[in-house]
Order: sequence, then structure tokens, then C-alpha cells
Amino acid sequence: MPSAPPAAVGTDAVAQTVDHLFRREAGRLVATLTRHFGVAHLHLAEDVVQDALVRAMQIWPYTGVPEHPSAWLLQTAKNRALDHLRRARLWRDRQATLVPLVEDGLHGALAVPPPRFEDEIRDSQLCMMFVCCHPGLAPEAQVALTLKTLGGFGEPEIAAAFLCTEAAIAKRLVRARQYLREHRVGFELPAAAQLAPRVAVVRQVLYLLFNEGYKASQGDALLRADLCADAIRLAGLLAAHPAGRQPATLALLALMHFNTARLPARVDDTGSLLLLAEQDRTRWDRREIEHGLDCLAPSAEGAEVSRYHLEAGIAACHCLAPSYAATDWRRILELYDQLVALDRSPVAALNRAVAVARVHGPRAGLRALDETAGTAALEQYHLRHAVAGQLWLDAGEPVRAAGCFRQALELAALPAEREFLARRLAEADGP
Amino acid sequence: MTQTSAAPTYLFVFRHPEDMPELTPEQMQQSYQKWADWIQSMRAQGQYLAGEPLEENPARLLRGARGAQNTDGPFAEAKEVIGGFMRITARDFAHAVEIARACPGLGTYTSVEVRQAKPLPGV
Repeated sequence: MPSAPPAAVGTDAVAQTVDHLFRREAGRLVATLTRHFGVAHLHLAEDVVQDALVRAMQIWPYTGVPEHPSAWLLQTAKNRALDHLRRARLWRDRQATLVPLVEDGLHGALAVPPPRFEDEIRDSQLCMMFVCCHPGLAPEAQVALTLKTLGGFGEPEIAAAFLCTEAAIAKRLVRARQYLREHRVGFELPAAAQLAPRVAVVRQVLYLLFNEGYKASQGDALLRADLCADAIRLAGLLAAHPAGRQPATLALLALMHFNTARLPARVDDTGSLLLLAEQDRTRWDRREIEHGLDCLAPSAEGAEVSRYHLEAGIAACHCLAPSYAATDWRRILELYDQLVALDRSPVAALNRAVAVARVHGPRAGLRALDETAGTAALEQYHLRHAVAGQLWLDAGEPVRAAGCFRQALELAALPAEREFLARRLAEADGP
Repeated sequence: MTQTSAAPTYLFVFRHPEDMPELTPEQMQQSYQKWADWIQSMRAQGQYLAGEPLEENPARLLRGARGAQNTDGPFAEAKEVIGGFMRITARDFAHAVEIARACPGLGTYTSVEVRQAKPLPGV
């Protein structure tokens, strides 16, 4: 492997390292090493990658980031892996089996000719996705494993994203790796007969991951934006491969792009949540909307209408509307009518009620709310009361509106949401 | 550029505790960026001469005739390990210390020892 060229000395502008370079490279490298070590040794792959990144952190300040970080890291990983095996107490008793595995595996990884190097990394990441999203793992384990191995997130970061303890995340990951070992899960694309359902699971995990990042203002805003970006990146990887490129995958990608487009406008400069009606649409990211539209067209091929198609269609309606008033609510209602048939969740019904109100007036919306199946579950959901409050306000009933906003305030936990509800309540209580 | 007598150079010796908490890739990137910015700023001002991070192992301490007594690192009596060093030029020792103060590791676990090297004979 060629040695790294030194950084241009004396240049005034130090090129800002590409955002999340370390995290991205971690994901690529774990996938590559797992291909060669085997899924049973996933933890070894993660340890070796951690080691290689530590070296990069220590050496690159002096040398500059190499032209091909992946190649540098892989070479470092090879040099360090054996050393790591000899010294790490955890692996000492299995050295006899692991050392030749590492030697042959990494020798093989480094012997790949350059044009195939990138292709192999992409393929490895795709296989890794199927490993992480193995149907035998619980959804929260699938998401955690995806974030750790493909996303290069550390356990503290995953814990922060899910608002649970590091210990809980660590345990979740240990159990997931154990499951993969015990069930001898292989590093490969699923067989043709199982491909469709397996891809559906991957989509579901990426959807969960995206929504985790998209939830309004919980925890570290930057971290949440990273989750959305990673979900898009991985969905793009899936869509780029024949095994994953179904209309539903493209619909999911479209949905993610449309929602991402609106992220910059969702909070105002003081960090308060803004309703769709209040958002400054000039702050919506037009490039993301374009990306969404690019995915939407091919997603319409074929007969399947997945929930992602419907949600993408709804998101597209919003993104394409020049203003809240000019939104095609009839079209949105049509799509919600289909969505509630597919997805019996109270949340879908709640959103549909809003669409009903826009098309048929606030009292119709309130009736739709009352008719919602699973109303009992919704009673504990602060947004249900917030929506009802807004509809009562629209219907000219401020006293009933205030009652709903008070109920919502009792249930809302996040500061940004409580602040938003307090403003609404003040509006309802009037001057 | 020739000098009739070379200005003194200074050495930074970086130490950190043997057991440091594990960083996430994101945290490592931030750390890398801060160190890179610091070194780049020294280069831009013509202060940076040389530097290297050091391997934690192998490490061996020799004592006695022909190094008869020797211990392998990490060394029990040292609570810290030497992580690396840098050689810089500065106006004077106070200036060298001022430059060292900007070391990004100081905010976390790194200590910086600043020493003055004897000036080399004039060229």
C-alpha cells in the first residue's frame, strides 16, 4: 500500500476534515473486516477498527489525512490486529484459531485491486445491513447494531439517541452479537427466496432509525440530524443494489428526503417548535426535495403501495405546496384514508383527523378524532389533545380549546413541546 | 537562510494517563481536528520543526551497565505514559510556554512538559 503523503505544509487554510469521516470510515472498515473474520468475530472486527482509528487520531495531525483513508486504515488494521490479539486478554485463549484467520483475512482484504476496493466495501456494507437487521433480533437491537457497526456511533451516542443508559445499550449489543454467533448467521445476501421479506425488515429498521432522528427536539439536535443522514445513506446503499432496489425502498428514500428537507425550518431561532403552518418555507432544503422527487417517480413502478409510498406522497404534497393555505389537503386526505387502512396506529388516525379538518372544517376533524379506533391509547398522547385544542380554536370555541391544551400540558414532557403548548394555551385563554 | 548562531529550540513532551477512557469515532475526529489545527497554526507561523506520536509498546527502560537492568513498559512507577513529542522554535522560553498552552490535549488528559534544548553551534 502506498504511504500517506504529508499534509501541504504552510498552506493557510487547513482543509476541514470531511464531516463524520471517522464515523463513516469506521462503518466501512467494520463491514470489510467482518467479511473476512466472519460474523462470529464481529466484536474482534469492532475492536480492531477502534484501534486503527485511535492510531489515525494520533498520527494524522502530524501527517495530514491520507488521500485514501480507507486504505490507510485497513493497512493499519492489519498491522495492529495481530498485536491486538496477542495482548488482549479476552482473545488470548482463542489465538490459535484467530491469528491465522486474521492473517489470511486481512492479507486477502489488502490484496484486492484498487478498482474493486470500493465495490467490495459497498457490498460488505450491504451484507452487514442484512446481518444487523436479522429477523431473529428485536427491533431495538437491530437499530442499535446498525448504528454501532454501520454508523460508527459509540455506545454513549446511541444511549443518548434512545434516551437510555450506556449499560443498557452495551447489554443490547452483547446479546445481539451472541445471537448472531449462536445462530451462525453468515455474512452474505439472503437467498433469493428470502430476499423480499429480509429487505422489508431492513427497510423497517431504517425507517425506525430515521424517525428516531426526526422526532422533534429530543436531546442533541446535531446527533439527531446525524441519525437522519445515516438512515438516508444506508437506504441509498440499499437502493443502489439490485437486491434492495424495490419500489418500496425508493418510496422510503423519497419519504426520508422530503422530511429531511423540512428539518431546517422546524424550530425557530430560539429553539421553539414551529407548526407546519408557521414554518418559513424558504428555509426548506430544495435540494432534498429534488432528491425526494427523483426517488418518487421510480417508486411508482409496479403495483405495490406500501406505507412508505403513502407517507412519501403525503410528504410530497407538503413539500410542493408554496404555502400552508395552498396545500392540496384533498389529496393528502385520500392518502391518509389509504394509510389508516394499512396502519391501524392511533397516530396515523390522528394525522388523518387533521387532514379531515382541513378539507371539511374543524368540527368534522373533531368528529374524526372521536371516531378514532384505539381512542384509549390516544388519551395519554399529548399531541391528541394539542390537535383537539387547535381544532376547537379553529371552530371558535376557546374555552374548550383551553381545556384540551391544559390536558396536553399535563402529558407533554419535552421543554420545547411544553413551551409550544403554553403559547397555545395563552392564545386560547385570550387577552 | 543561514544563522551565525542558531536560536534555541524547545521540546514539548506530551504525557497522558495509562488508562484513558475510550473515545467514540466522532470524539476521536474532534480530537484529531483540534490537534491538526494546533499543529497547522504552528507550521503557518514557522514554529513547528518536528514531532511524532510514540507507540505505547514496545517500550523498554534500560539501566545499569549495558542495560543489564531493564524493564518493559508500561512502567509501574510512572503514572503516565509519554504519548509523543514536538520540537519547535520560539522567541524565547516564555513564548514557547505560551505556544504550549494552546495544546488541545491540555483540556482533557494530556500534560505538556516544555524544555529548552541547548542551542546548536553556529553554522
